[in-house]
Amino acid sequence: MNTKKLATFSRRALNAALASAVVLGGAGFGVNSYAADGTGTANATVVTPIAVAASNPNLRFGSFSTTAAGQTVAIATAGTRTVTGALGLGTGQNAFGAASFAVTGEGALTYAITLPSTTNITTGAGDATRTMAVSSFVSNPSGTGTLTAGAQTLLVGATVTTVASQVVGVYTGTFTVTVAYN
Amino acid sequence: MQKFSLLIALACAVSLGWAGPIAIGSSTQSLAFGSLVAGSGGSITVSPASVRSASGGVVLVPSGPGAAAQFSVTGDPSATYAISLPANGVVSLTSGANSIAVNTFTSSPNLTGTLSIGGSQTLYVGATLDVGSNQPSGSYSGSFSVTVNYN
Repeated sequence: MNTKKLATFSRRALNAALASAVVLGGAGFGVNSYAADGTGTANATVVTPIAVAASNPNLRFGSFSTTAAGQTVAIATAGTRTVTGALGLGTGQNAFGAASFAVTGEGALTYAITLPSTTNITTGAGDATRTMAVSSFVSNPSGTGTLTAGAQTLLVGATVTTVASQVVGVYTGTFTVTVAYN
Repeated sequence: MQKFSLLIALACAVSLGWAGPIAIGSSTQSLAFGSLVAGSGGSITVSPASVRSASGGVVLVPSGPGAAAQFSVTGDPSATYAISLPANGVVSLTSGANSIAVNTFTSSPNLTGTLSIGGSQTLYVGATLDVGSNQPSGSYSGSFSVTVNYN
């Protein structure tokens, strides 16, 4: 009797063990079958900051005489000068010319150029007769620049306009050119 | 008991045959953070909808836009599945000896996806790139893993 009971118990235990194995095997196989991995690629490009150095040379209108308000001296990006009403004078140390800016950045990226709308140049302090307005800024390239091997020269011209009784003197001022990657 | 065991085994086999395995391919579109100027450092985030934003000193270069990664998930019609994205501190992009960490992965659908009646769904994945101060310029690339599993 004892022997028979033992045999029955063993068979039941074996059956239970088999059932467990089947269930566990099924569950284990299911996990492997149902999960899937996908590989994604990711990328980023870090570029050299864009920069523009102070102008060298500066924008120079040169020497001129003026007799009335509204006379103009325009400097083109090519450096040529157009005098309207006023009388242009001199070259040498009073030479005129466009401003040149060195733009540096990354590779062959393009960038937007923002020029000032107007700025003033002055001689000393005082009233409006010591001030001339500089406007109609132009640049080459215009609007959008394109770097070549991370560099480009940006030429800037503008037009200065006289007022009545313009004081004789050396007029100076500053203007800002902004570049930003497109 | 033996018959019962056999039934369990058959039931398992039937259920396995009924359920097609879920699958996800390699990304059909890379997760692109686009072009940026590192500046004083910060982060750049690309959402699953491919919207790119920057914080801190990072400046985005518009001509190099970002894009979310795209994966194609396939399996049983209308089945739902769990999505596992990389944890923080696991993924980085490298360019030579330089690296940038990619953290805070996000996805659409988020956490749980539902396959279409046709048994497929497009999974979009975004993340955040943590850019160091004056991060050296270069083309950075790397890879990451996305796991999907039936619910």
